Amino acid sequence: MKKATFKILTLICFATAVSLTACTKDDDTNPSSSNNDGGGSQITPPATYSFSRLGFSTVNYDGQTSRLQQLDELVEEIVKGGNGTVLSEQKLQDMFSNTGNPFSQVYSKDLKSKTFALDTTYFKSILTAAAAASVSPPTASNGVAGILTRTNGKKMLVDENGREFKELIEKGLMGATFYNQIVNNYLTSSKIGSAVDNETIDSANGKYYTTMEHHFDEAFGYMGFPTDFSSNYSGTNSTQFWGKYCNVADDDIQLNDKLMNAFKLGRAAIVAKNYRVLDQQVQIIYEQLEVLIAASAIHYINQVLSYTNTGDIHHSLSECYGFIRSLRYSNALNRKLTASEVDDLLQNRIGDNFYNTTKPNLNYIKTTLSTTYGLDSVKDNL
Amino acid sequence: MMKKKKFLYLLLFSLFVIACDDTKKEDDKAATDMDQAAFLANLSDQIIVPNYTEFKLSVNELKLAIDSFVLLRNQTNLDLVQLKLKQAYIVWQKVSFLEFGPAAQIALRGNANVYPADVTKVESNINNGNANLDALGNSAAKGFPTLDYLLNHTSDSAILQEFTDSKRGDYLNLVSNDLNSKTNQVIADWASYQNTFKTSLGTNIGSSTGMLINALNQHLERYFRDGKIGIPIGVRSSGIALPDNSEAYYGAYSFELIQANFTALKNIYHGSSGLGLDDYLVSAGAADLNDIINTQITIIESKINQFSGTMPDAIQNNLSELNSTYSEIQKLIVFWKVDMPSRLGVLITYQDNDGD
Repeated sequence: MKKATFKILTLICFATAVSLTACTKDDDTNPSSSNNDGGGSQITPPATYSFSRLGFSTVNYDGQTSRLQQLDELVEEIVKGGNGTVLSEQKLQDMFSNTGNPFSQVYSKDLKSKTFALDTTYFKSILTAAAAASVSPPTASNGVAGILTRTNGKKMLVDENGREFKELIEKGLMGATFYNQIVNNYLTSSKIGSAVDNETIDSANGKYYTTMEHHFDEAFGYMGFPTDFSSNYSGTNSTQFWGKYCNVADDDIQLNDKLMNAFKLGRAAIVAKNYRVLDQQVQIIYEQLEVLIAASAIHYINQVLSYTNTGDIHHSLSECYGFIRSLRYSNALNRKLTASEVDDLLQNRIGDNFYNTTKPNLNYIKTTLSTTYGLDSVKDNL
Repeated sequence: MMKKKKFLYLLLFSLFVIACDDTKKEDDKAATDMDQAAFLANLSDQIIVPNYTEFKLSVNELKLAIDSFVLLRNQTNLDLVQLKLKQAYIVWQKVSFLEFGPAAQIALRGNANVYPADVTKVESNINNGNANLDALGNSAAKGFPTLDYLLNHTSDSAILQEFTDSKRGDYLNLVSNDLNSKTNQVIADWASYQNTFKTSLGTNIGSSTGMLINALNQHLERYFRDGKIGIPIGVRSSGIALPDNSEAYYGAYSFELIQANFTALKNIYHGSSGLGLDDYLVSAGAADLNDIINTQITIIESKINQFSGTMPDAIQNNLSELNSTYSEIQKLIVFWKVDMPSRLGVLITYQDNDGD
């Protein structure tokens, strides 16, 4: 079997080589893969998200990778609550704030301090409720927290309103921490604007990147994209969080390429000190991340509408809710739905009690999102 | 492992095909001289719309029978309403797999046939009155399974007695009206969607052929194999059978529904007497696959036709045959979900399980 796999892999390499040679064309004709700032200087992004100087890589986002892994472990811990484990509230809170090494390995950095500050109380309260609900949970029903079982046999812990704890945390922090940091911190002028150092390199300490380069890389690090990510991704590196959902929607909207190209070109523009191109790419990232969130929310609305199993329905609606909630953190200057419009969808269309959510209201949200984000032509296929 | 290998080959193949093609993605993968417009016209005009029309009539007749029963509760009217329920439930099997376009928009399947019915919820809705049947929490307290419960769950005399409580009649009317209005909405929407369906050619995501094949597979896998057989016999509950999770549990005609559903699936595969997926496969040079599928359809038919009693009885007395039926359906799923789409160039986009 191993031999056969190797053979296939060889064939794939060969096929890739052939197809790449076959398709070589002048990059000038493709505005998305290279950019001309009007002044004649040309920026060509690298094939993968890798940059180097003096023979050393200049890309480092260890802190982001660490936080993605921490969320992974926190989510895994919550999932245990659906499978008979009584969750320790202290452990969950410690995992959120990375206090006292609560993880399977020692991580530096933490999730909580990078979470949208006004919402940390909200997430802490969800963790508290999850721990409480995990004690001898009954079958969940309207008003009773407990266990719902999905068609695939998986059990999940939901609160008294039928909201899956795992999703409230996972999708919640994807929005309030990762997305928030990308669009409200690293990709703003305070981190990549004209006042930020894009000259000095601390090679004595092994840092061959400028401050501005590093900030942009930190934004990229929160995406959970493999460095060789692309549409129709066939690489072996795993996608995480936003990267995973970007890949899910890729068949319909090809966001893998759109976002990867913008990150690669934006980073290359920083190296070239071409800030006009950088601004253009950042703009694309702002826009396409909102599209990704909207498309993911619609995907789960479609699932809710197609499902008949209560567990499946509440799982998908929890996912949907978490994605829509993420839209609250969109950058204030670059957003299509205002925070209050997002809150209207959450409070008046989905509502706090998922048992009372109606299908006509979900269709209303679907139409609102697809119209706002230009997804009308694919909304039924997502 | 086998799956992985297949996937890698597919990947290899697709690398060659799409590497040099920026503008078209899934189109023209399969060389075929199929008249796709005629194929879609046949499906919509000869099968889908007539089936929906028949369903609408049967649901309307059911509603009339329920109206009469609520006004005058006697054995004659109860017999009639039970019969009309069974007839409509059987006709539902002819449209239940068409969950795309208007039906997906309304979520007809989720409105009409979530089972088992949540009996506790039904009873509390009856007592509280004014239930909002559109709420997700009421998904299992409406549609055919709830009608089945209200009209079949105990002896006729006991049911007649129960309906002396006018709140019970109110709820029966509420459920009946909801089913009727959702059905009418889907059929009304098909009037304008019919042309869209016939003209969305190609096999891309969003094409009619793509949506149909996705919908058929999702139905076959999740709602035929699992819903009607797998879940009741316990494949999703570590082998512990769940007989009360069978369709039409109270009316006890699960197998008639299974047979009607499979006949309808077979009919749309064959395009009734016109152009169907079978012809499409043949025109794409996959006559061999069509033969295999037809053989498998015959095997499944003979399997499901041997059952005549109730599902709980079959689980009790003939579980091995049910397991074997499940396995034969599984074989058809591979032909339909893996082989047919690849031969026709259709992408399966629905996920049986979103991975978390």
